[in-house]
Amino acid sequence: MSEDRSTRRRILAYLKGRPLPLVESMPLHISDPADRMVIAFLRMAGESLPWAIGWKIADGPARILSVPEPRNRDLVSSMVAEFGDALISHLGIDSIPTDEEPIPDERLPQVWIGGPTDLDMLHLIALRFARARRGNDNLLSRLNCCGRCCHELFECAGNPFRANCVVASQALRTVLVFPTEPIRTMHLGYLLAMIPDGTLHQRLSRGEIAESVALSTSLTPDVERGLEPLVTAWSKGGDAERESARLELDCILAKEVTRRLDSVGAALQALGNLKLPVSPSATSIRTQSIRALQMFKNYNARVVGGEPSRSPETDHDPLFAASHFLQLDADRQEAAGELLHNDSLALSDAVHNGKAICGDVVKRELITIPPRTLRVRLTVQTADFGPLRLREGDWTHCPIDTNSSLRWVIQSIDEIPNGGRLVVLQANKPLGVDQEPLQGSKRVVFHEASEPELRRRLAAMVWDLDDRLKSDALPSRAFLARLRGQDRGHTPLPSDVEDD
Amino acid sequence: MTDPSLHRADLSRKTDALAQRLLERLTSEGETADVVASPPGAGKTRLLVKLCVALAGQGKAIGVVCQTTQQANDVAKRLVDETPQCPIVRFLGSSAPADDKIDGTLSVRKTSEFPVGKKVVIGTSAKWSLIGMCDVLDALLIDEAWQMTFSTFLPIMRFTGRFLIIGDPGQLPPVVTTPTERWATSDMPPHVAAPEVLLRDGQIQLHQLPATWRLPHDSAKAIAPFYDFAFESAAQPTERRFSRAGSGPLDDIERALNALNDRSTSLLLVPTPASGTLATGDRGVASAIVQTAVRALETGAVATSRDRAKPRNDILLPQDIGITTSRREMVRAIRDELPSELRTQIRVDTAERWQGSECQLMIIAHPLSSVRVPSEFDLATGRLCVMASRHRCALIVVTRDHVPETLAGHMPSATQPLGQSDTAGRGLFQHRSFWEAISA
Repeated sequence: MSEDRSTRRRILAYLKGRPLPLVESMPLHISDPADRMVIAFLRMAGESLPWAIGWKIADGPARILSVPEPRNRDLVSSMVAEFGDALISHLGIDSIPTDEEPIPDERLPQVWIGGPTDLDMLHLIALRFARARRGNDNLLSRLNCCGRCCHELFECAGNPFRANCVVASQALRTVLVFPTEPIRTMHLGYLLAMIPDGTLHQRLSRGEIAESVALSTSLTPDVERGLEPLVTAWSKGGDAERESARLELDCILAKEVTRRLDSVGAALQALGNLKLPVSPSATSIRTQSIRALQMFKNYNARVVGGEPSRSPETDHDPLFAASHFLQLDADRQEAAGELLHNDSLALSDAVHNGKAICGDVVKRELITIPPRTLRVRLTVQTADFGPLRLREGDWTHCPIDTNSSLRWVIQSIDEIPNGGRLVVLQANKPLGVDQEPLQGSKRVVFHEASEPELRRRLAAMVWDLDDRLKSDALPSRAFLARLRGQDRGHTPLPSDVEDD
Repeated sequence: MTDPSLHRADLSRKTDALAQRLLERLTSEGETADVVASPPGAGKTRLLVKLCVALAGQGKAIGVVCQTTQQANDVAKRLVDETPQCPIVRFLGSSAPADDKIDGTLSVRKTSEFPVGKKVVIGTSAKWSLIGMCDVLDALLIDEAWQMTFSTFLPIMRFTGRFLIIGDPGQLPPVVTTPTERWATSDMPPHVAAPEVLLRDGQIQLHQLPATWRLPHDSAKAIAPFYDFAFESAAQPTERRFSRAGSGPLDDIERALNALNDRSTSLLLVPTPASGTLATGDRGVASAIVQTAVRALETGAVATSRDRAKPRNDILLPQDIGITTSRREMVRAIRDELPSELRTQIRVDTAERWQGSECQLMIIAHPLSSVRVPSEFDLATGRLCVMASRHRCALIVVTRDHVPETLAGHMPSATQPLGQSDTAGRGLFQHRSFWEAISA
């Protein structure tokens, strides 16, 4: 949503004294409880790796692991490996890979985390363990796989057309606008405190109390200071003292993790209580997420089979980088298009932002493209004179069009001297007279339509260069091979370098 | 001052020599890739057309990659005029209207319809990158390549092993809306302009066009900080002039227009109100821009060019004036201020839309006007470079008067990943240099 529109909506929420829906229907896919794994992490201040990890599937008991000294990497590795086993099992990564298309009612195992610091932790685990080389073979294979899974989840969370990993605070902000400063809406506890009934003053007071308690991966400083003597006791004390310190640490950390797991559960509950109808875009996101998970399973199987794994930092191979970038671009385009197409609030926002036009059909004609193709051409008169982001050659889509694959290409945009514009649009597909679209419609909206399938095709073509390079059927073979020669991702690290 | 005609002849010789070198490279054995960096209005498309004509004359099959349909149509029209003996193929998208056909060209939607043998096939990068396969071409020439991402360039590598990549490095980078943090440290980042990435390969040759044929002499110096290479103007100091038959009341607008008697750039400062201004849709600046345009028309402005075969004195018409800003909200504000009879005659648009166009007098809203704390977006100079390089005769920069203070006091944060260039710091330096040049 644009800044000015979201500001307006926030002011309206402030006037009404409560959070307001930002969407008409739920654009997020929320899996069944049995397919949801809620994860929470804790870390020591200044450390990057977890101190404690907790997870919970459905209504089952929470499983919480912690280490008494998070700077001891052997302890942390064992804890992460155990967590990894549960994650791998939940995602079904150990199942046999398949190239088949996803079945519509196939389950989508989802991961829910509380906020952006948990997401950072997924990335940190990926950075540390996806390519770890220290430890016995069994431990290494478990850690590497866990690292790859965390990397995949980290990537999915940043892709609006994937629901494999959802950040709870982000999900709440997607469907609700809160009557407060945007920076305060980063705290999951604050958001949850604003939702229950009450006056604005009561909600703000509750929020203020809630945000004083940490829900991120860091502990509240007072709590962490209290743990310091216990960590020292475990490190330097005798056996009895160590055992006692460990038990006490486990107990405090478990309490902190449980509070974070409960917050994510409360966010899920709050989203369910909104009782919004499920948007058709959520179904598309689900299908795409299942497909993405299958692709990841296949990739993981290839890595286990000996192929190099992707770097959690960046894509060094130009072909992989370009293909991955185009794929992400396609997903983002599709997510934005689906939202516009299925939500009138988002659509009016697009008109306001110049990404859609709203006007009256003033002329309708059939154009002949030699030799025999007929295409419908519409002239739409709009009243708005504001700047348009749409331009000649852009593809648009009309939400009321029954033909969901039909696109309208802007042929010309002419300004009318006393205000408004005349926009000429032509259907991108041949249509007969009896199939004339938008028949009887007068006032219509055309929004910016992306062509994610074309981007995906482009991504596939880029990746296809790899095969052509191998098969010697590329006229620019030496040139491309040279460009790929700078690929560091496929170069093994020297044996004397410790990468973890 | 050098004799103007000798100066232009010298520049033409340099351009011809460059064209000859490129032709030799494109017809040599093996794979080649050359990048030509060009200042604005330096004859990029002219060079491309010239090379196509020469290559077609040798019976070669050439592909031309443009970034927009309009650019592709322009190239096709110019080629039709210059190579009557060679099939000129306009390679169209499946949804392109049939009435777009250009006389003298063959409109084709599939590669199977390409004529056999020598030909020049012109299409957009979107079209080229999505086709399945075609016969191997002798060379591909890419126009406005700094607007094309590396990820779009890669699929084009399927069609040939000889590339000529021409573009303007100072202008707007490709539009990318997808977050690109993941590839910020990549060796070959997919979202960055193709020539920029390709030049990281040390074996690609970089050439430069020597001069701008569009910009007046001192304007070329003003935009020089936006470029890493030296270039000059084909016009000598007295060859372009902006003058007026009459005058208006002696106010700031009049002073800004009078300043154009001696130079091609002028500055109109609008006082910054104590209460502050809106960063977007600043009505005060919009009003000053419109009043300047109206005053120029009312006082009989004349644009003089002596750099052609015959000197010209063109009375300024509304369509000779262009207005541009970096923000859409300002476009709206300026349009609202324009008298209704001028709304369809004076072109008001964002820098993105002005790219590739030119006019006699440009009036621009400085991108930092009303911006007290510049962001990375504000400090990116591609927009300013486009805005400040569209005029043939005169440029008036309109801005709130806090800009020198903002530029002097701002210290950008270096947020770029390790090992990457500091674009915000570089942008600030370029902004300061440009400001010094126009306010001197």
